Amino acid sequence: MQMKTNQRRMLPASIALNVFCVVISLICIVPVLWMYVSSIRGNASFMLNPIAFPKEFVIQNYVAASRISSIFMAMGNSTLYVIFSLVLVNIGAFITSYFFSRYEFKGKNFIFSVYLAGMLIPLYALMVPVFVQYKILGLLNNRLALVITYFAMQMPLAIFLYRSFIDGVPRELDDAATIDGCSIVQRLSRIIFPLCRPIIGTISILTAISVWNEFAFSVILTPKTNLRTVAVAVRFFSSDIKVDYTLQFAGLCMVTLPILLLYIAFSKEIMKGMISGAVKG
Amino acid sequence: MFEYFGGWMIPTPKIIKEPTMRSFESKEVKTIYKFILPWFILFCFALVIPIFTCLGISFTSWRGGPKINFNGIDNYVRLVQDAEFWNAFGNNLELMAYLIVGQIGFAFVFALMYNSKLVRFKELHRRLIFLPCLLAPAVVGMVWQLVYRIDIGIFAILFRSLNLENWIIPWLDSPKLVMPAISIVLIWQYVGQYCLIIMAGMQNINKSVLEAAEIDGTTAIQRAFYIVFPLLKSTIFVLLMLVISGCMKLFDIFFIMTNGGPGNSSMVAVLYSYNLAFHSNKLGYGSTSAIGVVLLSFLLIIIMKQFTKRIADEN
Repeated sequence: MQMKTNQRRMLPASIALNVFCVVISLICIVPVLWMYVSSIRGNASFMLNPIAFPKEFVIQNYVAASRISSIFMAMGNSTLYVIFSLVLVNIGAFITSYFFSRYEFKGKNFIFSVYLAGMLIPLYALMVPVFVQYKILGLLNNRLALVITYFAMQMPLAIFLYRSFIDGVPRELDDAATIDGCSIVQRLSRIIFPLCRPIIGTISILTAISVWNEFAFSVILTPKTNLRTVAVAVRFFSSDIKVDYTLQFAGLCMVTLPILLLYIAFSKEIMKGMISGAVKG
Repeated sequence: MFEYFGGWMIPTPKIIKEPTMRSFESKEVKTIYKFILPWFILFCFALVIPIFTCLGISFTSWRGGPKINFNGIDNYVRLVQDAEFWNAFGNNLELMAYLIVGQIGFAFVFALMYNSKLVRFKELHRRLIFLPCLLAPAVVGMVWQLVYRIDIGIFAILFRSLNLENWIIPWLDSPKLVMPAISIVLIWQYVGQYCLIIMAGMQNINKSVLEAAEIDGTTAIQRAFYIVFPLLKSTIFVLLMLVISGCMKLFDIFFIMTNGGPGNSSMVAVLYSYNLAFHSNKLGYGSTSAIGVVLLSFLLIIIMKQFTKRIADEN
């Protein structure tokens, strides 16, 4: 009885709270929805009424968008950068964190604090320095320069996550492997690395997302059209003489789609990974 | 055995803990370095050495040509007197104020709501509010540029349908409103992340404390302010650090949405040094201002650390 009256008393509050939450969630996705809905509309009807459900389904926007800004080339480039930095970060951070976790050695604290400083520094303040370095070395417009930068950008966070994971892997496994005659390389690659599967997934996803979205370093290091990444390429949808908004939306949608698909597939892992990443940083 | 629990169940004697960290022989240290150093060198090459190169160049008047003239501390003297640089840094601080109130404040309110037993579809809500922070800042900037348009933008249409015609101002072209307008974008994009961090912090709060307070007849709002908020202090500090360091490195969204305009009213520090180096070709002075940004953000972080330490000590 007591319970029931309590529930009835709570009903208005409950409705208000739920409505409020729905509104918040809507606000969070409306710009994204707007982008996708408008991308399949004709520009003329969009200009008449920018907020409306599409009556027609115009695929031309996508065709035209891919023609104008060589978006597929940019997506290919970005994929390449993602794969290379992902492999480098995973191997580098795994090896480094393993030794950080298991051994006490001279210079460990120094190396660790340099990585840590890489996390604290405002990354984009390094734009000018990084540009100057590759200009001096003549490595501008070189894919390698960008991949190395992305690798270094992701390294501190990856080391943090790997290290705290490997700290939880029992040392007895190492000892057993050593007694059974594993070399250090075998111990790393056959025993410990396979155990790190969950954290490998997290770091790969985080790296993929941040490299795919990265803009600033790509602007300065690879200004050439055929080397640029998706985040840079999207700016060139609007450089047409006549501004075609729906076409621009189509381009933005294409660039965003891989991220959204990844999010739909791995939303739990992504949320967890990004939060632990943010807090550690 | 108990070492796996971090030794917190039984105070582990030091003697037992020592052998787990292998004592180092010089041969072993060499092997370790053989594995670690290549990655460390690559990292230093990419991010650490540039800082020192930049430090060197910051004492020159290099404009990208073959000739490099050293001019001592002239650049630094100029930087200290550079009104535009301080205006840009001031904009960073202004933004920081908006974001601290906006991101952390909203995130706290949302987190409280999502924690309530009354809300349905929590998981879906969580996923949706987190979605924006996965989008590329470049994409977000371009979409919001259109959202703020006064002819086809969402806000303009909304206000027009509510008969609030005089609320429709070209927000991004108004020197006064451009910073609040862009901070709304940033709040929109990152509030989900902050909210989830706060929710993770709330899970560590002992439920029985809240239940006891509920039985004692407190309202939900009282519980939020007098119990949850104080217990979340360390989480809030983490978020403050995140806002500050995140704020200093903002670049792409400003570059895309306003490029510092109108005038210099949305110029931020990193964008200013970018413009110096790449548009005016003043690589020397641009490096000086980049070093200035690094120093200022470290200063802010140190001040923040001291501040939080003092508050933590008081309790």
